[in-house]
Amino acid sequence: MYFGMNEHIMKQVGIRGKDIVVLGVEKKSVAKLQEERTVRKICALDEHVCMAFAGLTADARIVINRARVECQSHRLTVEDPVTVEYITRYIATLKQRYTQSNGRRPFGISALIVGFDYDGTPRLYQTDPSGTYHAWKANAIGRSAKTVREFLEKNYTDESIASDKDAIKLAIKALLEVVQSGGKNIELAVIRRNQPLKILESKEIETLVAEIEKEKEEEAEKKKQKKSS
Amino acid sequence: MEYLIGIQGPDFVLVAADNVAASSIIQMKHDYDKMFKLSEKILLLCVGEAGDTVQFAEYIQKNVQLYKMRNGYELSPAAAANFTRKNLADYLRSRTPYHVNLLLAGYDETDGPGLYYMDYLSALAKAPFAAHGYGLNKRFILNLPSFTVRLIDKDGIHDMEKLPVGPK
Repeated sequence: MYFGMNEHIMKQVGIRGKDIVVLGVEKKSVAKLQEERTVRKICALDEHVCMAFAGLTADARIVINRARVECQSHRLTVEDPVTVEYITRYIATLKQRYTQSNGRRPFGISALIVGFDYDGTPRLYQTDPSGTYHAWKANAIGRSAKTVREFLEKNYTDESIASDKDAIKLAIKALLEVVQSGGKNIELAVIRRNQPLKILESKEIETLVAEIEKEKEEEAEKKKQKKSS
Repeated sequence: MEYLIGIQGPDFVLVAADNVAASSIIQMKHDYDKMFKLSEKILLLCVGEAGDTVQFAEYIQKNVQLYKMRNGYELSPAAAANFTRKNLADYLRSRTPYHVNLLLAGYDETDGPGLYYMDYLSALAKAPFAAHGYGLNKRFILNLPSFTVRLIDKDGIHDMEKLPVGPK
């Protein structure tokens, strides 16, 4: 029942680096007269955790609100920030409850949840409408998720995520595989250890995209030279 | 015999609270911090019934943080003060009122520094200077040995040197 959903979902990519976690989403192109910033797919749940969702935006608002309240409630009762696994489990349990009670329909969203636990470990989790969740090193959801995941399986190595910048570039590369119009349609958010969520400006993304294009050209040149020699 | 004091300057608020946590005549702690950081530029100073102080202050603290997560920006000091007052007032006529006296100090981008006085009956007043308690030194039977002092300005909350009181 949920497999067909992927076709309409905007592409998203999550990468777990060493000291950074990256979330990239494909931005839906908005109508000319529409204000762009009201369409935000990446949301902070707490200062050290954020999530990107794909699916029914209205359902996502409810889930995100419940998660935000739970993050603060957890801090109030146990005086510690939530671990990424805890809040993922909470969201997944919430979703599952709606698959098993009468008169309610499931939440139509898949979510990528990233963040750092308070011991400094980076985490990436994925949940879906059924209420299951899994941990990932790198993952993609949405349209052509399979293609992107295959790309990540080939290119996610210890060296490709060696530095923060590399991890960000890997996320952009993965999105560029399947996003039509390049940097303009990509929204990127990063969390570095002990730092709050940062959403990259389109200028920064353009710079990185230009770098990636240059690297691709250089690779192609090298290959050509090898062939001719 | 707890003491809170706040003074509003042209572009800052200076607040101090004593460091004693007492149980009747016994000093349980001499280094107790009575200030709660609500957000980057808001401090809540809270004294009163043991237990009520921390419970109420932490509840307000987490709700102010929740507002930040939901809306992407922090509550202004005026809004936080009124939110606190409303909560205190609602609990006042319930079976479980909170017996706490508060000072809320903050810095707002547009309105500048602000100091708010609130007592256990949920009276709220914005004032240039305010205090709870006695705070006397020479003419009081009990002396409070030391104070935590903090300053709030446009750059946030800054710890000042702890003030020891008494013969040098």
